[in-house]
Amino acid sequence: MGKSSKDKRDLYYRRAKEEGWRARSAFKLLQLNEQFDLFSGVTRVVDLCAAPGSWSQVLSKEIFTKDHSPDARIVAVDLQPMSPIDHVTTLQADITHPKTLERIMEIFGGKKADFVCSDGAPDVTGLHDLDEYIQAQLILSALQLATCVLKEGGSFVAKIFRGRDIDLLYSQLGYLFDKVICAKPRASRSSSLESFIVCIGYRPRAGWKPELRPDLSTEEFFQDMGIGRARLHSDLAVDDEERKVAPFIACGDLNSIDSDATYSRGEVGRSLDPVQMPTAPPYKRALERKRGEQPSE
Amino acid sequence: MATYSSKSGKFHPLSHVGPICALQSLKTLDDVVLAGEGPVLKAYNVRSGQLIAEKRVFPRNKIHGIKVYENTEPKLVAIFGGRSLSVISFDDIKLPGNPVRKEYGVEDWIFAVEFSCDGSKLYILTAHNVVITVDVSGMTLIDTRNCGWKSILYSGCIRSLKDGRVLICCGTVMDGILVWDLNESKLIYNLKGHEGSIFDVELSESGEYLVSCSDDRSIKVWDLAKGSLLATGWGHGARIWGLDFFDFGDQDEPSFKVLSSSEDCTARVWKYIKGSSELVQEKLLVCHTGRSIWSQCVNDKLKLGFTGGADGKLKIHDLNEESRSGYKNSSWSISKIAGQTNTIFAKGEAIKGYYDFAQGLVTLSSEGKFFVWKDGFTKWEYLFEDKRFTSYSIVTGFEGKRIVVVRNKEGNILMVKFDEQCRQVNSNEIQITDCSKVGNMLTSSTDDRLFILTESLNPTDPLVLQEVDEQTLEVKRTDLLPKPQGEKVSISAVLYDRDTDYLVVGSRFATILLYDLQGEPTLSAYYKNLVKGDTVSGLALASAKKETREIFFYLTMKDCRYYIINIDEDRKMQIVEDNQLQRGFLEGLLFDGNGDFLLYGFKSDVFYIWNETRQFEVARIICGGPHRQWSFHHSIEDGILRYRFIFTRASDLQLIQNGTRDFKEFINSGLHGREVRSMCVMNGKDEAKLLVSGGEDTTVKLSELKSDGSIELLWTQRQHGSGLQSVHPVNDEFVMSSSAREELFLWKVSQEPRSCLCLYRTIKPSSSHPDLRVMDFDTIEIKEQGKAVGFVVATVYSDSHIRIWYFNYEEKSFKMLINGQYKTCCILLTRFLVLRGKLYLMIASTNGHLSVFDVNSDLSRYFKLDGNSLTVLSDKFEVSELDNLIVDQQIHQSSIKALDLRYILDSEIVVVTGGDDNALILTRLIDDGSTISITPISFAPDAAASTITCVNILDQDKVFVASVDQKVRTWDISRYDLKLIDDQYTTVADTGCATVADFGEKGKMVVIGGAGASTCKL
Ligand SMILES: C[S@@+](CC[C@H](N)C(=O)[O-])C[C@H]1O[C@@H](n2cnc3c(N)ncnc32)[C@H](O)[C@@H]1O
Repeated sequence: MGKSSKDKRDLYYRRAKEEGWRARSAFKLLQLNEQFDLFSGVTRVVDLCAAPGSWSQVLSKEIFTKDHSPDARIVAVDLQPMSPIDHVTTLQADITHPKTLERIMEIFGGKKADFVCSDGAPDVTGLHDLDEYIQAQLILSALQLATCVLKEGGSFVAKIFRGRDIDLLYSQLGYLFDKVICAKPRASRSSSLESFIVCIGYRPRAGWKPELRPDLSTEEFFQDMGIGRARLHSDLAVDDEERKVAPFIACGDLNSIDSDATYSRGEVGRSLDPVQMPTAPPYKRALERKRGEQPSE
Repeated sequence: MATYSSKSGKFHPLSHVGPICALQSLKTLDDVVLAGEGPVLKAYNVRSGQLIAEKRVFPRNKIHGIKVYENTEPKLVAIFGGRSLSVISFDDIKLPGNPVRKEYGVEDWIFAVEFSCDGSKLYILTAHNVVITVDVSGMTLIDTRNCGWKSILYSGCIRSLKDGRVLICCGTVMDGILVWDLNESKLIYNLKGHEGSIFDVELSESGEYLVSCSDDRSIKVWDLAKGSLLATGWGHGARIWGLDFFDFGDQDEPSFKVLSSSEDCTARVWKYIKGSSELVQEKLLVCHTGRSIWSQCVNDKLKLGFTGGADGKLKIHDLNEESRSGYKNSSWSISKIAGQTNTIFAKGEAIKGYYDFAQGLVTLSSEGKFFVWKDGFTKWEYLFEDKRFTSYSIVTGFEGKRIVVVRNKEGNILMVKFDEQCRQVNSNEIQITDCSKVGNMLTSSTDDRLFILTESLNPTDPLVLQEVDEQTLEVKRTDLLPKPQGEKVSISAVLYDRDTDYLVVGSRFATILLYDLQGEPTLSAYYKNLVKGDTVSGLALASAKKETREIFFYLTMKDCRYYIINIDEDRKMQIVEDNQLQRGFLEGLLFDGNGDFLLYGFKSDVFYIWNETRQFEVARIICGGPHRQWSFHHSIEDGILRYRFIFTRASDLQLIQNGTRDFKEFINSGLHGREVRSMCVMNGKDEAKLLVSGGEDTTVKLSELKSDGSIELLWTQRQHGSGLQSVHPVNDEFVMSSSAREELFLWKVSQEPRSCLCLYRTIKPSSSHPDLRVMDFDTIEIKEQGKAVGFVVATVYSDSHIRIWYFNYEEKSFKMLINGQYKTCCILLTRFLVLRGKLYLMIASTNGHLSVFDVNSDLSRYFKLDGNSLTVLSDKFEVSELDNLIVDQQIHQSSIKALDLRYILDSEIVVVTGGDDNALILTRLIDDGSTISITPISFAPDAAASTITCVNILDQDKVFVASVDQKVRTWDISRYDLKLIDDQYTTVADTGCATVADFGEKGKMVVIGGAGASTCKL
């Protein structure tokens, strides 16, 4: 029903065209980086669900236009074919398939990655609970790969839908990373459920070794990891899973383009100065307090 | 997180309308259908439509599937949804009270379950293609199996076959369908042929056939013995979600039917005949609105289909209409009629006109031959021939009187009266003398008065009204009805009302004429272009008052609009309801046995009957389109609509008549087909509460909110062009709604003749930008001696504009008073504030700021503030610039999605805001006489796991908060400090809006909207 769909040709879209990004999504990654300095020291990246490839473009520019180690590498994976990007190895495959992970690891030749990201979203059906579940499975597949290739201290970023069970994921990620933050770049519409989970400082579970076996489902892969995922019990008891709320950070400058706003061509509004000078907003303190904390505490 | 204090502020869920994700009928108990509505299992009687039993099954998860184990009667019911599972005895469903005691769970999403043939085991198929076998008596795990392929699935089906095998079919995300044997844990087939995800697979009971549907919008039939594709069916306009087998033919004629349901909101019936490579679509059922049909099932014995939609509707479909008693479908060619009646038709002679007088049909041929189709439309009888009545004659009659009226172009009118056996009992011929050249002729009748209205082709001639005696068929009186001076009239519909003695005449050129027949008939009034469109196609009386001569009537326009119109004692015409259907030609309206409002007409090649109250198609007859001779007769028998549609196609006469039924057409009528975006409650007649809701489906709906929490849909308004942003009342009579394309609509709510909603006025958009949204608005009433005469409205836009308008009910026009822009970000919310007797405007935006503008100096030029309302001082209105931003304080990190406020003093307000940043913030706004300051006082950063979308202050102590993580919470605000009191889960996904209804002594009720709507009591 095209009737209710919003006009997609917003300012981010136009700017992406001007700046040569393949999708407006590029700004989401750029704004996440602005906030979290994700790219510093990063030379080896896996970009999952990458088509048409704007994140890979951003990463390629970041890594390869500077001095970089000979080991620098970007692998981009998607179900859809992608046209080539300089310095990026593309792979057309399903990330939920165990074989795909093997192939990515082969390309990395046994070396670890600094950064794994996934901007993936399934085709939504409109059944909110099923869509959120499938999305969670996609994130889990990305995480599965991350636990196999990410170096200790590396970061992981993935698109999430902040629906009803997102607090389960926050809690589980808290076992694997120093910091878990829910970030919303301003380039992402506030009217959509989309956000990004930013996980910094990978800490492999002590005593647990990732094992990629084709006969193991993603679910089974995580089974013995001890991150609080529900499991099948002989009496079919329902696990009371841990839930945690990850701190929320809006990223991107407040003066950057508002993806919810309607801009008329070229016009920039006159800004009014208020009479009363604003004071520091309440979350400032909270964010300072949160800094360095992880949600599982 | 804050701590719980248990005593007050708890919710009690009352009622829920929303996506129906599971349906199951029973083999051994025909008249019951089971439905999963959110987490609640409901059992309905399909004959009475009544709810027999309901039971809450899961604390959180929605029910996505139901399976019943039956031998001679239903024994066990397995219910699943998400990762949750429950097995209860069928009899327990009926036990009163108490939710189901035990929720079981597996570690993965469940797609299907099946009982073993003896009912002792339950097989559970998960989203990773693993089957978990469970011992039902102890509910313990027996084993888990797979076929060595663990990719993610979108659908699945398990069948326990009589030969002991258990087959599993699953639909994968990419193209393939896996078929495997449970006992051997072995893959049998990977069936390729579809493109994209497979959304449903269904195995026939014998395990012989498999049907599947997918992203590619096709349905495929597979032979499971060979693993080969047998047939494909195309037709759905979007993804297909559900399939069921029924109606298996016998050995001699192997065939079956399939019911399918889709994202296109239709269900379809398909027939497979062995040997054919095509699955043929037999029936199209237009039954839901909005997003999708989510569930379906078939009762093969009663031949009933059931569908449950995202719109919360539970619709029953007759899959075997043709066998119902009274159903008729027949076709008569000229030669067949000639043969039966022993008449000879001339070359090219055709049936030109006909009239259905309930017991029979009188037809006239182009050569003047009269026939009657009688004996329950099985036999034809030749009546007589009258050569004067040929091609250009009009054939009509008096409804309910068995009188047929035929008129030729010379002005001869022949009337023939029949008895119930279709025998002629009387006839008479009259002549129109006062027309120079006769044009159209219409009839209207009440219990005791019959009128014929004729117009002349000469535009200056008056209309001729003849009253006919029902017994003698003599003209009792002839009147000449003058036409309005200089106006073009071309009559198309007429209505006579006995109580007011008014004759309402509908014409082309959107003209309505009102004749007063008391005494010497006069043209009382005429109304031009008050209705939109061209031709009035139907008129029907709603109600009338004899004393005041006030009349309400329904009116349809051929170009798809319909109206409820009131002509008051001063003969002023007011539109009480106006609305439009999407496309086609609207020919008329009627009411069914429930009092539902039905419309009928043509679209593309079909004749349709549409239930406008409940939003589904009652009938759809393929007739070739509107340009033909047709007749539509309807009546209510035993509370059921009986209709007969007769039409001419390729010179044959075709008849379709529906039969009786002993089951309901629907069980729930549902609400919005997509997310509810905004809601408000108004006071109706006799303490009724009216709920006005706006949805992502672009509709505004008017419903009654009952004190038991149920929501009954009354009207659906389709006039917005995109998904709704905000809906707020002005008072108990007017409500406004806003959306993209700068649409801001003012609606009037009327109580007579029934509760309805009429578009009263709109604000003209300032640009043609399709994405420019009116995000929110707030109003203050203008009164004169206590009477509401208008209001001032502030509107905020997605391009950061802010405007303030004046509206007056007399002049009915919006005048802009203030225009300005905040920044460039999208403004989300706005509220007028009154501080120390001065007016301010507060806004909240995507930048997380609360901002206050001083609008007092501009508005006080025209208005005086008088308590909570305004009075007009001067009407020398002009537009001024908004330039007095006095506070601009960041509160949230990003979008402020919800806001409510409460006055503490006339100089102090408490504002509670909820944001996209999961935070709930209590802010104090103080006017110390010289400055206004905003100070956040209490801050709950993780008040929810996701965006907070609703904040409603309930009283001085409590605020209600809902968020997208599907949580509803109450917080204590009594000490300027946010304290969590109650925290509950809601089944409403995409939780986006809430409103509070005050039922006085019965307490307050909260309505929560999102993907569905739930009510709860405090
Ligand atoms: C929003 S787009 C990614 C945009 C990308 N980050 C960019 O900047 O150009 C999401 C992508 O996820 C991909 N995707 C979804 N499910 C997948 C799966 N199972 N395996 C691989 N890719 C998948 C889709 O094909 C789609 O291209």
